[in-house]
Amino acid sequence: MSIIQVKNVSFEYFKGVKVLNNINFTLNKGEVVAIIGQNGSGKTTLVKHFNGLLRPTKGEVLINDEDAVKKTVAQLSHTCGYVFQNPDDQIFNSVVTAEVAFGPSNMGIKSHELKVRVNEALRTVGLYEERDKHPLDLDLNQKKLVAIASIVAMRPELIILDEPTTGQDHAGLLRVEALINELRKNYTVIIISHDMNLVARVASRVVMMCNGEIIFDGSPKEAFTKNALMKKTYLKPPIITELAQSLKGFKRDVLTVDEFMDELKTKLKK
Amino acid sequence: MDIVTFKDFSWRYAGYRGWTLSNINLSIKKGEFIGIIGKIGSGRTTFCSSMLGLIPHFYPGLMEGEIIVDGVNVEKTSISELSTRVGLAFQSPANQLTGAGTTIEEELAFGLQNLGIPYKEMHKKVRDMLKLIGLEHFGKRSPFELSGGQQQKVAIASVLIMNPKILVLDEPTSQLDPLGTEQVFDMVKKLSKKGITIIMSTNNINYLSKFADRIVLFDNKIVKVDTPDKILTDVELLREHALTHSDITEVSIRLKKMGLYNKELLVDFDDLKKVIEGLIK
Amino acid sequence: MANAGLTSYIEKNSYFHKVNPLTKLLILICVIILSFTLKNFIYILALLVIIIPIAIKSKVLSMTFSPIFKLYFMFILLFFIQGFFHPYATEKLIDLPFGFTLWKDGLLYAAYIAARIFVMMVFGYWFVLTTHPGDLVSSLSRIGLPHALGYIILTTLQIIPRFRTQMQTIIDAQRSRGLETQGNLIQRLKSFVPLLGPLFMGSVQQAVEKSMALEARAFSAKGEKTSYRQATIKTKDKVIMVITVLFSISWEVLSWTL
Repeated sequence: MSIIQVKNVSFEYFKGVKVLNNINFTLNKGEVVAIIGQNGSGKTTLVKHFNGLLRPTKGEVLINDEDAVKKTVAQLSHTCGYVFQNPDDQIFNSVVTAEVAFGPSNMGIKSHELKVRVNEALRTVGLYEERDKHPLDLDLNQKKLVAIASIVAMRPELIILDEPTTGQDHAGLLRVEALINELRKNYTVIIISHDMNLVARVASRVVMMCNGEIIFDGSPKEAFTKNALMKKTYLKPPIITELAQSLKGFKRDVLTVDEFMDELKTKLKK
Repeated sequence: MDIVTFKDFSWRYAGYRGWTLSNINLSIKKGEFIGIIGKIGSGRTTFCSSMLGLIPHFYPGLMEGEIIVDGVNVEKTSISELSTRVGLAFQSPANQLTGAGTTIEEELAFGLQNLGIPYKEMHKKVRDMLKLIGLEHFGKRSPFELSGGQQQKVAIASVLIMNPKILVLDEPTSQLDPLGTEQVFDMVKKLSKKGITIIMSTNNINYLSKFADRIVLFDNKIVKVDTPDKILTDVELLREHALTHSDITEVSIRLKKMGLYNKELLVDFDDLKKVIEGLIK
Repeated sequence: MANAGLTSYIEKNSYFHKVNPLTKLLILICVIILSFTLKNFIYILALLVIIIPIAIKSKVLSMTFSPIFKLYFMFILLFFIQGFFHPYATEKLIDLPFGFTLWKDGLLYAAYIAARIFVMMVFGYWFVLTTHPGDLVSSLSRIGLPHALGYIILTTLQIIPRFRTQMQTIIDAQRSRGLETQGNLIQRLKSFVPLLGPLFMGSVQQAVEKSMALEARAFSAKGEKTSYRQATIKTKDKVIMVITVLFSISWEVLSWTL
């Protein structure tokens, strides 16, 4: 079942300058889609159409089979939760719980139900212990989690994570990766990322964008073997994939160290 | 010859209880490429800001010990004087653009203007610098129109133009896309080859393993200083300080466990490739 | 388009683009003084005859007059209010039904104000279009504008557009969390804190980083500063300056004696 259907969508900020060019894309329930491509390729512009922050110049966007044009951003946010890249662009409350409650209370959720949702969201991201702190006292890793929790508390069907690992250290990275694996049980997830290791580990599908067009849509394994396309978008597959690709006779779609070792073992047996 | 020396340096920010850095002892040789690693909050940024004198002159706090940079004592030297010895670039490309000029040329010239460099010499330096960073045809453009990677290059160039012997880079690529990261890393590599002392904080282990002479692991103090192949393969040590080793090292560990390899653990792509090619022959 | 952020400067290769900013500033100041002191609005409007060839020679003719057309409503309003409600009006022009009167001195007064605004805006806009802000600040520094003040003027012009982008990002982020930024007054007031909170915090952070960047480039170095852009005062500047002053004085005298 599809949550989002994008049909022949083009978008221009200024007349004649196409930021998106004839995009067709269907997002199915339960997928974890990674949208990759260099800055300015149209990734963020595309996902901003999913919750109505941008409206197509041409074509249409259907959210649960309904035309998105007819709904406000606030209404669409019930279905599509969008976590922005920089948590500092949204945090304004003096307590973590209040920050997380902002979204659901905008939806009209009150008292007990609100509390339940906030606590649940904080547990999901692993910040329950930090709930009474001032967001400014949290480190960069944790601030990002507050931003994610504040969307999770709205219980949308789809959660969009824009550059979830930017500015994170290794511990933050692992936390985000684990969180995505947690979210995928209940939500459809889109990640926009430059971090190919993350993409390799969590994505069920990869959409590659370049100059406002989708130039590839398929599995991560397939994506990382498309060397010409990857090069065009200045992306490099994970180092383990590169290693396998540099060795004669190895499979080209190795994504993890485990897969690499298996491949090596079969080669050694021969 | 040592160009930077830290002697029992400690720093505590005003209003904070703990020491962000304590008992730092480190000597850096002229022309060295030093990699700085550590988790968030491990004091890397503080360390990077100290050489330009932002600590102790810009931030309030308590300092102990001393830092000698290019022959001068940081505590007794003003930031503007230090800026001709140390160039500092940090994360956000846009925030480093002063906006003092409307074009890239003027942005680059800003430091020279402040130092009172004569007109002709200034123009020559700007031209040379634009060439060095590969933006010679963009001089008249607004720096705000550039991509993140190019902006970061301009930011680095704008301190480099003041002719420092030491370049300190605090996570210069953490906000850039892969292309931008590559552009900046290429530039740093080039500068290092020209003999400039580089001190770079980054968690890009693969890059450091190739180009750094030594790596310093921070966790509010210096935990260890060693060569990349020693420190980046010390799995236990990295884990203890919330960092991780690269997949290259992981493969070499597994090869060792399987008895297929018995030398030092590896961190370099090409080294590992050679070993495996040897195995499958 | 070589548009430097907020400023409307347009990079062109024209005679007046190469004239020293101080010369152009002198023209502007003379025009402002004239428009406040000339006796009759006809004399003020006559100044427009001068700007037309100057604007043509500067290759910005249509741009120079463009802001005026956006303000036509203000001019209509001005004539309406002053024409009917001028407080010290004594000379009737026409009596209209419902007790309204159109006053002649009201209209004259409106014409005087309109002419003043009109002329100052046209000259002002021509100045902005043809003068690079960097050149202006560097020339002003040479005649005594403090270094730091010069920087503030320049950077403000550039930072405001960035400010705007950041505001848009914050608005988008909060709308994604269900915030209504449109609608009635109460709703808009409610959205104030979620929007201005992050903007304020962000600005503080930016200001800190920016001042570090400035320090890293010897901003507070003592001693003489130099300038990358050098706008020298050439013979043609001197000629234009003399003509401007002489003309202004004669025009002023003429307006009061004729």
